[in-house]
Amino acid sequence: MNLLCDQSDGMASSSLRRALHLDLLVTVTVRVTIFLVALLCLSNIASAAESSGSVAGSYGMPKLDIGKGGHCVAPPEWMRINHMKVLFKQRDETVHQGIRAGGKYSLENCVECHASLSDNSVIGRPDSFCEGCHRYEAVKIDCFECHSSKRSVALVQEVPK
Amino acid sequence: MSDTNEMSGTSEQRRQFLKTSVGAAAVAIAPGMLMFDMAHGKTEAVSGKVRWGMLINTANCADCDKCVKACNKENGLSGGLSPTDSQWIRKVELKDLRTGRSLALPMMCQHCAEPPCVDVCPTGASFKRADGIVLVDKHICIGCRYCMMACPYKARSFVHEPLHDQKPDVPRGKGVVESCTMCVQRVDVGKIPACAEACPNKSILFGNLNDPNSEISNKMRTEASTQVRADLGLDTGLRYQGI
Repeated sequence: MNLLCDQSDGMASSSLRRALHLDLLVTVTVRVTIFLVALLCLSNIASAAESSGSVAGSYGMPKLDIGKGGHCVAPPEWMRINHMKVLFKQRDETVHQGIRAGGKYSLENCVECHASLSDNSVIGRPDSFCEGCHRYEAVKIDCFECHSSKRSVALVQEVPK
Repeated sequence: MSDTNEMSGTSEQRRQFLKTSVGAAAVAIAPGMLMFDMAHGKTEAVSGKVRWGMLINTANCADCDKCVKACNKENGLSGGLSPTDSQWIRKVELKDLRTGRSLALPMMCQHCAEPPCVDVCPTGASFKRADGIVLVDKHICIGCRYCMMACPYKARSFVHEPLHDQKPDVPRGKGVVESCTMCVQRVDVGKIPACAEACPNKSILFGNLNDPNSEISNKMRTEASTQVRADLGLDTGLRYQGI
């Protein structure tokens, strides 16, 4: 009895299955199209953002005051990911082994080039070179509780009002 | 004929001029390169071949605190004398009650070869560099102050309050212990410590104790000097005369 039932069910379900397959095919095609269109739009927005000067098409990323700027010691994309590692390495070499030359990744070097030209500092404002990104990423910087955040010799003298 | 002679004379002169100017340029550049190396420090790690030390002659220390002032200025210390102010050098005055003889001396980190502060540090922040300078790695220091209790010379200070406008070469901050660094930022670029430079009587002699021909080794060989609390067997890097 069970066997018979199964067979008839099987006959009915095969036509149903075929219809379902078709339906599925249509839905998938529509979805893929929507996805592709969305992707295209996104990439357009991203490239527009890039051309307008903000960083690598991420939303809400801060525009930074890079100070004197110029040639960084490494490509900015790489530095964004690795600056803390190279800083830690150079820090340990300097403190424990007294190596003060030849290392290009010193905090003093960073500050020297990237302190703002208006206040000589890398912290203190939403667009300051260090603080800008660190605020955005919600990562606390401890460095400047002890280290100087200011350029040793001020590049710009404050204009008297 | 005379023309050619003149010509050759001129070219000879020119050649001579070029030679001299090249020589002059080389003479001008060479010390510049040396200065660059000096100003930017060494690229190799410090080694145990050197052991920095000081020999302090206390004969002229009575009415002078120029070393303390120079230390404060070089390292950005406030110069205050309250219990919570950092003092890297203290002027200590001693008096022998029996004879009435009094003397003064600058007391600071003695840069021991066997530093008790390093022995007791639970985190490894207190350490001795290969060249004998005893330092605190403030990135590792947790501010427990064991080292302050272990130091027989009371040489270390704890920073109690937040600090601002530190010197770029001398990072200092709240919550960690600090002490005389023998002006490591100056020594590493070939200068002498600020106190030794500021002493008007040249009473602080800084040098390499491991080099038998250095001025400090020669003086220590020929003149009497003492370690403070030599009984502790710490083999201090600072020695005193006249105490």
